[in-house]
Amino acid sequence: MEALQVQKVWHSKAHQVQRTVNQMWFLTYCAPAFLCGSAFSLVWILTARSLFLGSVGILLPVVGIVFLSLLVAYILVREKFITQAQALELLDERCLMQNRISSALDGALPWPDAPKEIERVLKINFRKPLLQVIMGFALLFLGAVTPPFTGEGSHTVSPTDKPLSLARAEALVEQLTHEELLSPETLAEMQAKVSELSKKSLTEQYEHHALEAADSLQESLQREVSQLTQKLDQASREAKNVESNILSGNRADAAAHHNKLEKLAEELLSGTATPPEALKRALRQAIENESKLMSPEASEALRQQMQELREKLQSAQEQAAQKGAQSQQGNAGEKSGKSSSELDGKNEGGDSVGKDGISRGGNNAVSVNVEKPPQLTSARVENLAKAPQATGTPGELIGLSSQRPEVGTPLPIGEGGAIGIDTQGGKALERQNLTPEESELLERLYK
Amino acid sequence: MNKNILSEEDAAKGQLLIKRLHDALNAVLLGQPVLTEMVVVCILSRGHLLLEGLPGLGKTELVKGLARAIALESKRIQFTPDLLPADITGSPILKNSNGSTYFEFQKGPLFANIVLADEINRASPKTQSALLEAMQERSVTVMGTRHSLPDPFFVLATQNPIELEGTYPLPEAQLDRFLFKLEMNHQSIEVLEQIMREREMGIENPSPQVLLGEELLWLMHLVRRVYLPEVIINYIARLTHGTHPGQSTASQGVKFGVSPRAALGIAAAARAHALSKGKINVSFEDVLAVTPGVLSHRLILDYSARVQGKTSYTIVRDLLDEIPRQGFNVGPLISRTNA
Repeated sequence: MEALQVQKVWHSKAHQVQRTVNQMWFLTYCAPAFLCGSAFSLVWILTARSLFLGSVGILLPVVGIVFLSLLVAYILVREKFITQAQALELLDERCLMQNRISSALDGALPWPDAPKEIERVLKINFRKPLLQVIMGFALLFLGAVTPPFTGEGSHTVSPTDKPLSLARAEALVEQLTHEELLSPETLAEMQAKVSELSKKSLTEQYEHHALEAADSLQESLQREVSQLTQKLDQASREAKNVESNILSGNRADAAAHHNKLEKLAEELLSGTATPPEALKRALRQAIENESKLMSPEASEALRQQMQELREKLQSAQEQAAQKGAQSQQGNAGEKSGKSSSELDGKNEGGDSVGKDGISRGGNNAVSVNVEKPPQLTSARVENLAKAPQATGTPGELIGLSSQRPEVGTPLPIGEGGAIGIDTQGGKALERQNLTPEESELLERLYK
Repeated sequence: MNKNILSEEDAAKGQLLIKRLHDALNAVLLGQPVLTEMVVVCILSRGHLLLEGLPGLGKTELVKGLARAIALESKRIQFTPDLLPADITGSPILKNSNGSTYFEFQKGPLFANIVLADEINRASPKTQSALLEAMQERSVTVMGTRHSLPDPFFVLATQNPIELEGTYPLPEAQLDRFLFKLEMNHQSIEVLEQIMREREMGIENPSPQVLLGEELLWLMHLVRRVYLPEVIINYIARLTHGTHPGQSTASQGVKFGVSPRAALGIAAAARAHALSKGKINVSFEDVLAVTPGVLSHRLILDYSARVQGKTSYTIVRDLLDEIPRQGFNVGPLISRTNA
């Protein structure tokens, strides 16, 4: 019984020794592996933070790297683990038992009595692995607190919303599609053009050629819609003339106006942007009229139809312009979550003329997630195409004038410091070298 | 517990007898306790002993003292270049008795319990080879007849270093038969003073007989009952394997490693060493104590080792440092302090 108890004591102690040694082996291999994993993690954390990845996106690979390091260490250290019999051998040596325990383990000799100091047989070297673990955590901490490297003199810009031109073009096509203001073929063609740019990534959309393409697309769409609107206006006026001449019995003038109406109807049907199917049918009826003259009722109906479409198109253009700007500001506010001053994005100067930042147009610049505003110190002036005159405002058209300012003539100062210009508006300009198209537009605007 | 294993009481009795023999040898050879201990271990292991050293260091005196200390028949052969094999093994002699002639085997000096082969390297290789069968098989075959040698049988040989002229280096096969090859070094000043005080030139030191032949046989029997644990067997095997070229770092410069006979020799010597310490089982310390004496003369070194100044002894010491005692490694984990 006593011999069994002695054996039990030795086995119990051997179990402790085995566990301690195996744990230390694991720690000895894991510590450098953890250190290496931490070094890789440090690189990853700094890179990921430079790329503005989220905390989950950063932490998951870090956990993966550390786990992989520990797994590799475990696979390597498995062979080093000792058995209980080997732990007894170790005790044999450490307790100076002269191989009595090994002999007892063989079953040849009785188990020797355990020495009193058996509890402190092993003196484990904790220092080195512990130091490595601490260094590993220090590296991870370093990765968390070090400011991300973004390159010398440059800042990484990540756009959060689409260029303004593209946003406006999308809004316009969406509006036209929603209200079915154009023929399906025209709408499909417009949608295809817009989607070609929309499917690009935000970064690609801000590349120079993409910006140029978006500008061209927006201008093209607006021009087509404007031309359609203009022709509808002219056609409705001709229809009204036809109606009034018929009612007044002046059939010769009515026929002349009807001919003009037919020409305009043909242009409307064969233009790039064609009206909806209902109007197209009405226009074809007007062209194919055998009597060569429409009745006043038919003329009035066609005029109303065209007038209604013209108004809707103008309204759609205005709404699209507003929606494009609003959606861009809304996106910027939602995505960045920055302060209001940053969201305003009033980046004066930039690569373009005016207050448009890296985007073009008359609204606020695009908002971006940057710690520091980009250094837009370029002095390059980009030549912008002339705004379409049909949709231009009077102020823009005045800017096109080559009239010389009257130097030396003091301008009258009105209330509140406003400078008053004593001219006759559009008529004053009309006396200069204006194109017939400009003259017509000014006349219409200042009628 | 195995009943064939030595008991603590027998081990204690054996230790006392061994100590008596050890003391007797220390009285003969002053100032060389480690050497005499190995001599005793060699005798208890039934091994043959080769003592090497310059003339006058007391090699022959030690062997003669050992022969006197044990009440066994001992004979001395002075090896010379013209010594023939038959001079030591014996030869058949033609005899005439009652009108008939016949050959009668006349036993040579090998037929003794302890044979002192003095300056063995002065004999020709042919004569040295005559000892091969006697040392390994403990028998002599002459004219087709095998003659057994008495039990126990030991060859205690001495030799001068091979650098001296007129010597024949022992062949490797011959060297392998010796369990131990021990080198005798110069004595210290204190020992030399003691020698001059206690000894006189030309007068043999009278050493007493301390052990009976039966007691020696009993001790040899006890040695066989000393337990050799599995871990020690594994350690000796790894040590032996490590002597071969490419099997360890220490074996660089070794041309040929040791044979299994060396492993058996270490095990037997370690058992005897354990008994001399009163232990009933062999421990690592016993193996460490006997291994240099057992292995060093069996290693055959190549030219590079000799150029680097390595000796067999230093290689064995390096090997003992390199091969871990356990088959597993916990070296970097644990500080070098014992409980």
